[in-house]
This record gives sequence, structure tokens and C-alpha cells, in this order.
Amino acid sequence: MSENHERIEALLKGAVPPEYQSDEHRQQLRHQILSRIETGRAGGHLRARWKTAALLLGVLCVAAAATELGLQVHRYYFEGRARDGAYIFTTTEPERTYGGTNHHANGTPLRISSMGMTGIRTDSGKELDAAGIEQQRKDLEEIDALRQRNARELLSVTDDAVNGKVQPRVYTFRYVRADGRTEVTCEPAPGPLQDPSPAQRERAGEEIAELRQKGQREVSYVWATEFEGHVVQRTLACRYTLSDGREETIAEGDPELPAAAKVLTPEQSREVARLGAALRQRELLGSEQVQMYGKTFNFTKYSVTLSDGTRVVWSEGEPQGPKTSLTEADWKELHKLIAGHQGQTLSTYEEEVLGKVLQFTMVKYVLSDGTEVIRSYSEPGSTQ
Amino acid sequence: MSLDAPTELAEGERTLVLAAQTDPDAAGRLFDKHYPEIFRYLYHSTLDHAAAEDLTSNVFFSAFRHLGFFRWRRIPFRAWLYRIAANEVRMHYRRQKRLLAANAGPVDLEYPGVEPTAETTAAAQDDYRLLHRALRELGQKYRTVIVLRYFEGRPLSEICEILNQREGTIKSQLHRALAQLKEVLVRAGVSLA
Repeated sequence: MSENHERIEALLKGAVPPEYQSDEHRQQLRHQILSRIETGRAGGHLRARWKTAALLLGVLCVAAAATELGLQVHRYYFEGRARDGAYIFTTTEPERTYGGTNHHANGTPLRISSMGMTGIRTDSGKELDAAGIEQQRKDLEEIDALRQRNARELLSVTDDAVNGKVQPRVYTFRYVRADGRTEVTCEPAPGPLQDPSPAQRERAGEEIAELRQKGQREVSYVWATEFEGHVVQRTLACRYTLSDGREETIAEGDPELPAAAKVLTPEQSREVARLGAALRQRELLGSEQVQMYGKTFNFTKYSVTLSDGTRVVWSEGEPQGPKTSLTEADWKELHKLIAGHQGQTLSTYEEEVLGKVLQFTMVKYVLSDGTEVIRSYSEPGSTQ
Repeated sequence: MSLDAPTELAEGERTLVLAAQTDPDAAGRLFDKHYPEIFRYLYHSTLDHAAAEDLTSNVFFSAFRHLGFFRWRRIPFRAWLYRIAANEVRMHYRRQKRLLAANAGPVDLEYPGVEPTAETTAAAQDDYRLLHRALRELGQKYRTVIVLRYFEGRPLSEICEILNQREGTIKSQLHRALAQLKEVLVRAGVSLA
């Protein structure tokens, strides 16, 4: 080496590279890789549906978005039993189909990972023993395979608007299993991040990133975890409306939450979400109002005890004002109104859905608390 | 240490890699063994927390997806991981370049701030930042050999395995890399006298 190179070498050797460690990332990545090996699958893409509980289970651990894409049969796992008796099954497939780093409006970086993940809640009213749970699990896998082959019959399409807020479209499908048994499922329409081609997903992701940076999003729900009197985790359900009118709701870590002195381990965070949201194994503590993001949120607080004895407070909040989504009690009331034909028919119209022209009937229902639900409903049998 | 130790080590690693294809415990051990160095390399290559995490995920997803092919590479597992990581860094900068080209107007190329820790003095970090900034002006292959050699402290033989090049080629690349780095630093007003 020449003399000048020696000087540069000395400079290089004397420089101290900054150190940075991310234990959370290490744990999360480790879990994802080991899950993949446990499922015996080595890559490929996935297809699944996401539901709120699964979204939370996945997202609270990684502060990222859960969605589902791809084409491969899942393996389902029995997650546990909810307090109301429902059986919860999930997949935790690690395959990332859309990923990148975005930024919040305040500059805080946000890592987005779209993952194949499904949460299924089944409630047949029957008590299942171990064999019954295993059969249910296998049934879900069989249905998943049928779904990917599109071996199913479309029974109905439903569009709801709650106090004027349009909800994601829901399809009802009938599947026939190999042994002749049938299963009817309700499945939400895929969002923009679930578009079929990677280029489409990329475009949707870029548009969402732009909206996020401009602060053009609606915080529609909040989940928070308190530990030893401090909020250690807060996740926002952020609704983005794309230029083509489609919406995507993404669960994101709250960028305004100050760094907590005490934190939960990733395993504890996952258990909090599992017990607090998915299985609802929680004790009601009370409610409170919190001002955040320019709105007043009504929080309901619960106590959750983890398997290691740690006690945390799990809370869920929604903005004050007219409802924009329905609670479980609301859904029950709505179904009673529908069954009793206690709605006001507003209009009928035609729309092409999944390659078929369907006739929709729009009916208005009013719940006991004044919530107005306008339901547009169609069955392929009503095709003109 | 016996003369057979390196062979035993390689054989042990090969066994671990083989087991990791189906055994989560073995996979966990393999992951734990290599995660810190790969993450550190990617962090030093990008100086960006989020990017380093994303790229580390890509490296390990890719590696574990293709573990079955590893035995054909005939290089140590760690070198194979570094090879994947070096490729991820190359792709990262290519994507950034496209992104910068697509954005109109002035672009801020400042690096994200890194708080000095008890172990690292602000001055030493300033040197590092200066070097890192200068390295950004070098070609990817020159940047890679410098990061591996000086920031990661990898021996020449391992750099050869990682980059799949002969020792003479790597030495030559290092020489040119240092020469180019010198030019960039001098142009930036740094005195090397």
C-alpha cells in the first residue's frame, strides 16, 4: 500500500461505526422463519383472508400491516377458544408479499409488511372435542384449497353503509367438500394491497405511503396496552381512501407514542393481542375518554393476565360521534331487523360483480340507538 | 486446537444447515449465530435502521428458502449469507437510485442521525459519517470490499469467498477502492497529509 493508502486505511480503521441493534426485529424475523420451517413449507406465495383478530395478532407484534395475497394452501392452527365459546383458528404464514419503508407525517419511519395471515372464527354452537377441533382445522384447509381453485358458488354480495360510511363488500360463498358436506362462508372483498399483480400492489402501496405522509388518513380504531401504568404499545387502525375510491385499513404503530421506559417482549405483546382481542379473555375495568388525533376517543379498558403472571391493561377505543362500524350487539340487532323485514326499500340497481350483472336492492334499517344502516344486497339468482 | 478443527467446524456447520431445513431448533441456532453479523453489515452498508431491518429480513428469508441448495455453493455458510447480503445492498442502492431519479427537485442525501453511545465518541462517529458519505460516491464493488474489510474486519480469504473472486482481484479492487476514496475525500477538502 502506498503512504496515502496507509493514511486512508488508518482513517478507516480509526472510524467507529455506529452500532444499532433491533431485538424486536430479530425476534420477529426469527419467529417468522421458524414458523415457516414448522409448517414444512419453503417459500412460495400465499392466499388468505384477513380478519380483524388475525390482523391484530400479526400486527401488534410487528407494527406492520397484515393482508394476504398469493396462491398456496395454508396450514391452520387452533389458536384457542374465545370466552363466548367460538373456536379461533389462525395461520401465521411469514411470506411477505408487499414490503417497504414508509414514513408518517411527522417523519417517523414505518415498516410495512404485508403478510399472508388468516384468522377464522367458527361458532357452530357445538362443543368440539380434540378430534372435532382437528376435523375443523382440516376442513378450513380444504376450503382454503377450494377457494384457490375458485371451486365455489357465489351466493350473495352485500354492501353496507353505516351512518353513511361504506363498509368493505362481503361475499358469501358455498363450498362443497370432498365428502359432500357444504360450508357457507362470508369473505370480505380484497383491499388494494391484495390486488392480484405485484405492480398493482406496489402502486397501491405507494399511494398509501403518500397519503400517510400527508396525514390523509382516518384513525378509525385504537388498541392500546398499558403496563405498570404506562402505555407501552398503541396501534391505530388507519383508513386510507385511494384515488380510485377504494379503501384500505392498515394497523400501524402510533408514531406519536413516546418511547416507553418499560416494554413487553414480542412474545408478551403477541399474547396480549391474542388474549385481549382474539380470544377476549379479559376482565372489564371501565371506560374513559381520551383526546387524540383531533378527536375524542371512547376507550373501554380490560385487564388481561398473561401466562407468566404479568398483568396488563388492554384497551380499545373508537372515535366519539356517529358510528362508522357496527358492534357485535349491533350486528345481532341488524340481523333481527333483516329477518323481520323491518327495513325501508330505497331502490334497486344493477352492477357487474365478478363478471356477472347482479341486481341489488338497497334497504335502510335503523337500529335502536339511531344508527342508520343502508344495505345493498344481491343474490346471483336475481341476475337479469 | 487440533489441526482438524476447521474441517470439524465446517462439518458441524454443514450438519447444522442440513438439520435447519426441517428442524426449527437447528434453524433457530443457525439464525441466532448469524443474525448479528449480517444485520451489522447491512446497517453499516446503509446506515439506515429501517433499511437494514428490511434487507436483513430479505437475506434470511432468501437463505432459509434456499437452504437445500447451500451444499452446492462450496463456501462457508456465513460467506454465503454475506454474498446474499451484498446483493441485497446492491439492489437497495439501485432502488434508491431509481427513486431519486424519479423525484424532481433537490434531494437531501443526508443520513439519518445516530446518537453517540458511551462506547463511540462523537469524533470517531464523525469520521465514520465522513467516510460513509464518501463511500457513497464509489462504485458498489469498491464500497463492498471496503465495508467488508475495514468495518466488518473480514479477512481477505473470506472476502474472496463472499464475492466469489480470486485474492488478486480482491487486492486489486481494494487498492482501487482506496485510491478512489482518497480522491473523493481530497475533493471534499479532507487533508490526508
